[in-house]
Amino acid sequence: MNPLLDLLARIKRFLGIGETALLPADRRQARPLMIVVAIMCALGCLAGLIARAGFRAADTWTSDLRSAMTVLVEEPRTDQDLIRAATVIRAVPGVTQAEPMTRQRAKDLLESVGSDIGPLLDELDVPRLIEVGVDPQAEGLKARIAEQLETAGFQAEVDDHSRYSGEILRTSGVLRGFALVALVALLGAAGASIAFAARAALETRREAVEILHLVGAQDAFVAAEVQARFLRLGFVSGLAGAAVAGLLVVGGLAVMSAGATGLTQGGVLIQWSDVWILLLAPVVTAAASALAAWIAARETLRELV
Amino acid sequence: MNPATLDPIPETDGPIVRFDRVGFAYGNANPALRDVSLTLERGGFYFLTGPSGAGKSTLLKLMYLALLPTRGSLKLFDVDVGAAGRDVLPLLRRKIGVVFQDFRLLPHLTVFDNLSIPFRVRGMGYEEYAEDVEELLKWVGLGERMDALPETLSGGEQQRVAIARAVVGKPSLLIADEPTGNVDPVMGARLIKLFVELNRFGTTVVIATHDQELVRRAGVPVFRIENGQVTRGMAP
Ligand SMILES: Nc1ncnc2c1ncn2[C@@H]1O[C@H](COP(=O)(O)OP(=O)(O)O)[C@@H](O)[C@H]1O
Ligand SMILES: [Mg+2]
Repeated sequence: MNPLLDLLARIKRFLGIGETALLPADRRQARPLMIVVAIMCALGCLAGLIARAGFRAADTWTSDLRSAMTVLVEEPRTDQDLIRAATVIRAVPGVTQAEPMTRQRAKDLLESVGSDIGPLLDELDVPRLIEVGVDPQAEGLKARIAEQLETAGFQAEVDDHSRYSGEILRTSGVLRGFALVALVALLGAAGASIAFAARAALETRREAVEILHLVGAQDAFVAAEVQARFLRLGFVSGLAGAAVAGLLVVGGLAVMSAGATGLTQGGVLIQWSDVWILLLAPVVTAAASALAAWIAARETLRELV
Repeated sequence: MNPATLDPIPETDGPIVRFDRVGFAYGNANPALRDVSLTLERGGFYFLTGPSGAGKSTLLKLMYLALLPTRGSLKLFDVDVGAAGRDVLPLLRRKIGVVFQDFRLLPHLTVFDNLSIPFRVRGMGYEEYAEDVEELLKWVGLGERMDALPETLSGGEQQRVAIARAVVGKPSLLIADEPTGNVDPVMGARLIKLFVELNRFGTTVVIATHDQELVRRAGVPVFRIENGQVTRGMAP
């Protein structure tokens, strides 16, 4: 024996870090499992990020919609009347601002949708609109604005955009649901593969498990030996998976912003603060891995007397 | 609380092993043991003999708790094994050292690490057991082979490691299944001497063997097992 190695072994043993694993891993079993777990973790991160983007998009859109209403004034409808209606609206508690839409802006809006109608537009009767800013927390504002306008002698329609926000909430709800189902399915699949692998690992080391058992090891001791290993495996695989997912997202966003049109919005939907999903992933993977290994080990041990 | 450091089973004055009308069958097969009653007193030295297939190994497996009786009652250290919880069995096992017929050393662990197992399962750390392990390995003449893997040892050396692992935890009961089965008669006699020496220090010893000659020369109580029954318990 090499005296230097011998000395090293003694020092390590003394420090308690060198105690050889009683149930060491079989490399041929560990590698494919690590790859599978890393891939599942990467997919989990992507699902998480997509769910997060869905949340954020829905939040942004609905809060934009909730903090704005549009009032369509039908009668009377001169410029003067419109200014008076705006004053009435502004007086309603919960309203933060109310601006009549000028003919020019209404025309611009119409033009941007209906393209070049040209001089014809001047002949058209442009709708008389008031853009109202509201506190999104205020309740029953729509009814109160309508009431005040009626009292002031206006015939008007208040639109609180609830049609659209309902739609957005439904759509984003479905997306979030998909992402959550995907996450749960991935966690389940990862857990099942690890439980399967832990069982196989115990089977490979059956002789060692039996000897530990016969010299008086409690189930918890043997299970902990297995668990410690799978905790490490889960963490390392999770780290690799999260790194891959992070690179994919950064790369994807780069490609999207190079495209430069309206799609660039994608860049806003995933933000730097979402990195917590990637940081959390290895921890969750390690915990799930350790739990699955623990359960598998306890079940296998129950087969022994 | 760390389950590895639960209170040990206390020593009592009663018999160390007590089989009362014990039966055991592997699955649905014919019973390997039918109706076994025997008592081992503390500090005794016993042989268990009988032809091959008579049930010696099965009896010992019940004694070291690798199997549980399917009938009757078994008491170890005054604890009724059938009524004991799953948490108690490991504590009983820690009072028992076993030399297996085929040694059962763990091939991926060094000689030193193989001997560390009984301590590590009790939750003890390196500083607590290193000296005991090294001392015992010197005593069995393997002080220079502590960091060797079992496969690099001769059969005789492996057997000494197996015996060292069985006694390193200072068991009250030492069980050996056919310890002379794989060694020449001279080595066999030396092994028996080693067991006698351990017995003098107070360890109760049970040795299963089909070697009638060995048993005759020893002059100690012998349990003879045949057709799944202990037919004779004889004092010298
Ligand atoms: N694991 C087992 N499964 C089924 N039958 C077994 C098993 N081990 C032993 N037996 C049977 O039990 C009987 C007793 O065997 P054993 O206790 O090994 O006898 P001995 O040690 O005296 O040679 C034999 O008939 C043997 O075939
Ligand atoms: Mg046998």
